[in-house]
Amino acid sequence: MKKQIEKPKNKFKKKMFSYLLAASITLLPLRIKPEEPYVPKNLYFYNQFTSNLVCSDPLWAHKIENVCAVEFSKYTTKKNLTIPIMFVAYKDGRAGVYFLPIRSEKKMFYYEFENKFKVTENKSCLIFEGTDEKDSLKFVYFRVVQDDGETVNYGIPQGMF
Amino acid sequence: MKFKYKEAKKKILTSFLTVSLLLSSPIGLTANESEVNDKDKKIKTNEVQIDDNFKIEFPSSHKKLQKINLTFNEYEGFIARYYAHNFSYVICNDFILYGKLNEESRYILDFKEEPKVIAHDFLNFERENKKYALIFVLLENSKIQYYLFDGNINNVTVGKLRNDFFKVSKDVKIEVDFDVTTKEYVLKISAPGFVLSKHVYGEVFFE
Repeated sequence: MKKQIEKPKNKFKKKMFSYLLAASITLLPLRIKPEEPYVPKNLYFYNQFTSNLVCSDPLWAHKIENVCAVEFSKYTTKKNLTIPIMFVAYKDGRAGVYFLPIRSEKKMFYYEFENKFKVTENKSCLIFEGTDEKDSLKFVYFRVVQDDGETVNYGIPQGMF
Repeated sequence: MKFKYKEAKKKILTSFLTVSLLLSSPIGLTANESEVNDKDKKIKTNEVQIDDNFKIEFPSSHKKLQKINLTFNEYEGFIARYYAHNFSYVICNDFILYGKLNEESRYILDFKEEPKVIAHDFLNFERENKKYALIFVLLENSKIQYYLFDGNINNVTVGKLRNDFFKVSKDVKIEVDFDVTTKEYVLKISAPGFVLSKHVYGEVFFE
């Protein structure tokens, strides 16, 4: 009689163990965080004399002409990687952002905003960079100052690209 | 009859539990994805009023993202790259390339007619409020050289010593222990063919 009572208990234990094992296996990949790559400070700079965006290591250059001013910032991608970005304000009022490579990748991405800003008479551009949050939407922004002192603001939500 | 009904009920319950447990993680993932999609919907409005004086333009679509291919080739003799004190050091088998990270120019220390680098070790340290990088290289002809960088681009101290007591093989590794106060170093040379690792003692000259 005693044996008959013990049997279902063991079965229950075995089943519970297999359920827990299956659950832990399925949950394992979610716990792994992507590796944060090391991005050295000042890895990128824009050389106004040669009109080149320069990566100092590995050494390469990419020509970007008609640039009024640039501003660097950090951006968190869809894959939760922190990468450097370069915001560009052009002399013709256009504005865009370069998503820069971090592991010697041979490609980078560029987005150009639809709205233009009014270029100042002396063709100088002042850019303010920052981060903010609106309704749990975190974003990095760049404010380009116009002649009247007003700013045209461009933003990229974290994790959009 | 009652017993059979109970058994069937149990089976249904257990199978339901198994399926729900197995699907638990994918359900979580799809929920996250839909959150992202919700964000995208918000972004598609293009302009967001943060406060009275702060209207901001967001990208309208992922499709407008342009891919730019970069053309550069890593040097085939590349061995390692190090960063220290806002400098970068690229060790290749026939030269060392170094320079400040925020400057475009790079400086080269050529081994010239010396044979290629077999092994190396990189150290960086502070001494008397000055920051240094120290690279030891073991060359194919058994020569050992060190290069001391003190943050001044034009100032590199080179130390050379002849090593006649063994012939290097390609699987040799070197490791340097450096005492900042006494300026003395111990260079350990090891290889699978060596019974014991060999030690070279010396001093780094700060000029």
